[in-house]
Amino acid sequence: MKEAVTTTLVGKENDCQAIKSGSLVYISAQLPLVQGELIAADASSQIEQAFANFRWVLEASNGSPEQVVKVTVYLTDMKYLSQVSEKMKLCFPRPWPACTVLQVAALPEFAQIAVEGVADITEFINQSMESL
Amino acid sequence: MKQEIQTDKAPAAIGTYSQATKSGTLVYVSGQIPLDPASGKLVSNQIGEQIEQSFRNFCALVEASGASLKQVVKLNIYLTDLSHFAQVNEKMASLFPRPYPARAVIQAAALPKEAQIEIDGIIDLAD
Repeated sequence: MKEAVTTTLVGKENDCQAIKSGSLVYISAQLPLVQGELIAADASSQIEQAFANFRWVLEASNGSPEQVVKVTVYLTDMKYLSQVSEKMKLCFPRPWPACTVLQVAALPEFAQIAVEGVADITEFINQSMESL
Repeated sequence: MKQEIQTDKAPAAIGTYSQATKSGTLVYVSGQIPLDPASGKLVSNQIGEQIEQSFRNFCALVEASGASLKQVVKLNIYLTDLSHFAQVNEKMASLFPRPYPARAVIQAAALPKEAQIEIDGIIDLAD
């Protein structure tokens, strides 16, 4: 049964930031928004914020970074690839998630980056069952 | 519990990611661009060869996962030029048994290493 995860800190009101289905969490593409507004225009801040929002939604879904199995990063300019890679190194422990990066023509809100992904929170579910 | 899938028959990751990850019965394959696994360089500038190599790399990860192509449930194919769509279809028809995986094909503005194709996907190892 599908369950929506919404947080008010990122995204716009009524946005669904993630969906839980069984042991999987599908995290919507996270833009570098703070309370629905795009943060500073520079790419470094945007990369920082997009991953921070991803992490926030992940935690709101009872997931943790080591449970992320796949990340897809959309960039408006491939020249930020190495910065994204550096950021991912800080965000996720080994073994790292599978990942796809592509440059797109444009992103919502004129953002320069969007980050989506899938996490498997089986362990959290098992722990919750045990504590029942 | 997440596991890393690793093979030297597909190119090593060019950043902080795994070639593929396995979780439960599902395997998530990272975007495969047409790099030669031995040299880590693009095989060619020619699209036909790039399509071949991307699928070869993807298939190497299917194999390293202990799966077969009929267990691939979803493919995403990113092309820098949609005029290569027909060639991709031909290649897929020759590789995959029916029922074909679900699939999305998108023209991307650019791909890592200036590749012209990138392929990622999901495999279900159940049964």
